[in-house]
Amino acid sequence: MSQVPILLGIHLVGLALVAALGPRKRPALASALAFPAGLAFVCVLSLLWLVVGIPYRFELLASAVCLSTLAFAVLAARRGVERRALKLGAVWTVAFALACYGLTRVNVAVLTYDSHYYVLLGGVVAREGMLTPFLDTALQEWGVFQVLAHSLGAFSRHQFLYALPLVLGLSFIPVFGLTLWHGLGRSDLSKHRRLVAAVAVTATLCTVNAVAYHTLYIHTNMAVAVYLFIATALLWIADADSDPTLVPVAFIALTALALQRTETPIVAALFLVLRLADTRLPRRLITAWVACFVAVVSIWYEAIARFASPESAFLTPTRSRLVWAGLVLCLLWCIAGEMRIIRRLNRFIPALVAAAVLLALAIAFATKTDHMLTSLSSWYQNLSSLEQWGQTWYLLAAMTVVALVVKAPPFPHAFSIGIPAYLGGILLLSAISIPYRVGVGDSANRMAVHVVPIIFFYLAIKVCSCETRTHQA
Amino acid sequence: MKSFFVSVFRGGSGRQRFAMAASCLLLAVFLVHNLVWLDHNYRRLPCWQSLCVSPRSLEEVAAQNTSKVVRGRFATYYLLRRLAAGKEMTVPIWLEKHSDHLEAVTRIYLEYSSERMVVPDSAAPGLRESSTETGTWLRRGGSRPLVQTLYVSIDANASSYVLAESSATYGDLFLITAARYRSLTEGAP
Repeated sequence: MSQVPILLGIHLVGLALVAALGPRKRPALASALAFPAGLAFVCVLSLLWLVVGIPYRFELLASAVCLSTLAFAVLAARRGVERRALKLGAVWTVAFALACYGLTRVNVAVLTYDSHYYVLLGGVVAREGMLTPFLDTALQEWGVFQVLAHSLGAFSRHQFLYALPLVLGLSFIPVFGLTLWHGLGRSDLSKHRRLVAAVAVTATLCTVNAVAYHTLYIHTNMAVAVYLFIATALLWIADADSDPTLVPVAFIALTALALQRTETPIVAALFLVLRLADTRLPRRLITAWVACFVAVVSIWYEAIARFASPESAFLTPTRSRLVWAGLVLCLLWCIAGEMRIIRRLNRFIPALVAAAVLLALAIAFATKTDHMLTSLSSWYQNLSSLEQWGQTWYLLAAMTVVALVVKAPPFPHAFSIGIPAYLGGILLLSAISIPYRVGVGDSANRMAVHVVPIIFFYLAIKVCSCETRTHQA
Repeated sequence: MKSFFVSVFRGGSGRQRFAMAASCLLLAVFLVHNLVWLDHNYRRLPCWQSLCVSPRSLEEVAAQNTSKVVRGRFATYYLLRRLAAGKEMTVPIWLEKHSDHLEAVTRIYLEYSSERMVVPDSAAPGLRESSTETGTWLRRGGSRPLVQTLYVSIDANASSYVLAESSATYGDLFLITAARYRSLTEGAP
């Protein structure tokens, strides 16, 4: 089988999912979100499938995806889908199928050792049809999402989905552009200028060399950037525009984000807490989706805790249980959100997060000075002198300085605190591992890509938001 | 020109107009910078005159990778899976640390031999010539990693194979049928 039916199947289930649960009044954005949402759904379904112990066979999985598509379509029909949205979804699907056909003609994917390992593990999942001891050992160190995504490639005649990063990366272009277009909806810009602004910022983001490179690279980094952006930006627009229909897709993206790498559940929790600390979205809706997110991630981390070795350098049973315990704590914080003490505490959460990261960095530098300085120096060299980046970080720094002269948009903390805290967190990760090194393949260098889309998004909405509107918020 | 800027950046406070104007300028510089660097980086690639197209077969992709580890391990796993999946293979004990990958990826049933399995020097040239496929194996031994050449001779009717070495230390590797290995070694001194 070619890769096109696999990619199209993922798109269709995503389209039905977004139509059933996603934004009704934003049909173009809903269509654009179909592929990332579909990929997240298929991988989460496969994960639960494997954890429960159902044989992982193509025919069974394909039937489950078809049934899910049907169920979501029925749900969407009951909810009422506008004729315009249907037409747009159909046109988008035809365009997507044609694009996939073109993109699968040649293999332009970039593969390194890590990429081969993800593909190899995916192949083992598909062939064995269950979690074997070999996979159990490997998945203590490697995020499960890419493994499951590439397991689908074993069902194609090319043995691996070389088009997957390219299709995900290219489908992110309209997602970013349309999300920014909606994000700028609060500004005083006319529709025409909003369009120009969204196109210009999207073009600049997509031509950042590192972003272009990761669009071809089989690894977790582009997927983390895509899902972190979808989760954070959609939750921001949901609050800013009082549109709760964006919440489900944001949480689906957050779940996909948490399963990408061993440390990403903490990243997801960080951005979630910062975003929800000052939310005005319906508490019941948020709590229900936080519960779903926590349940899926906790099930997987408890599964890891059962087979992980205590001597593992990455996820040990204790660390895995600490991860899911932290997520359950987030859920309890959400449930208790109406309590006065929690509401009071929420005001201090951004400051507490910033203080915690700064304190942890101070301790790390004080106790492992040489180690941390080596990491910092290597990271700085990578970001400032690698050809993959050019002068990107200097230009982003200049834009940040310019953006400081205008007031922040409403609900800014997921960006204004979340991005620096995440960058600090990348540095902190080296304290429990080997120091970072100079080179394109270095972890910190690759992880810097994760926040680039949300930096562009935040700077755009900050600069374009009118002060008068900011005060009203 | 002035009226154009006034129309583009109208509305909001003076600070905001400044921020928007400066951001627009920086964004334009950013976009040009990105395009220049994309062009520069792409021209530096060995494949820039055509699209950087790779093979579509996973085994070929692994065999052409720039990483020695990928060429010397992953490509060999895929080669062995294609040629010998489902067969039995007796391998030297030093390969035991790779047993997880060898069994999970190649689907070969492995047996380990603590005795060194060596083909006679006189037979090695003939085995090299009669091999149907070659691969590489990256062996971490001695002071630095060594790339050994693997010569594969597959007989469609045979189900048992032996992975033997040439007598030289860290020499070539030969994947031959167990029967052939016996016939080669029985007469040897």
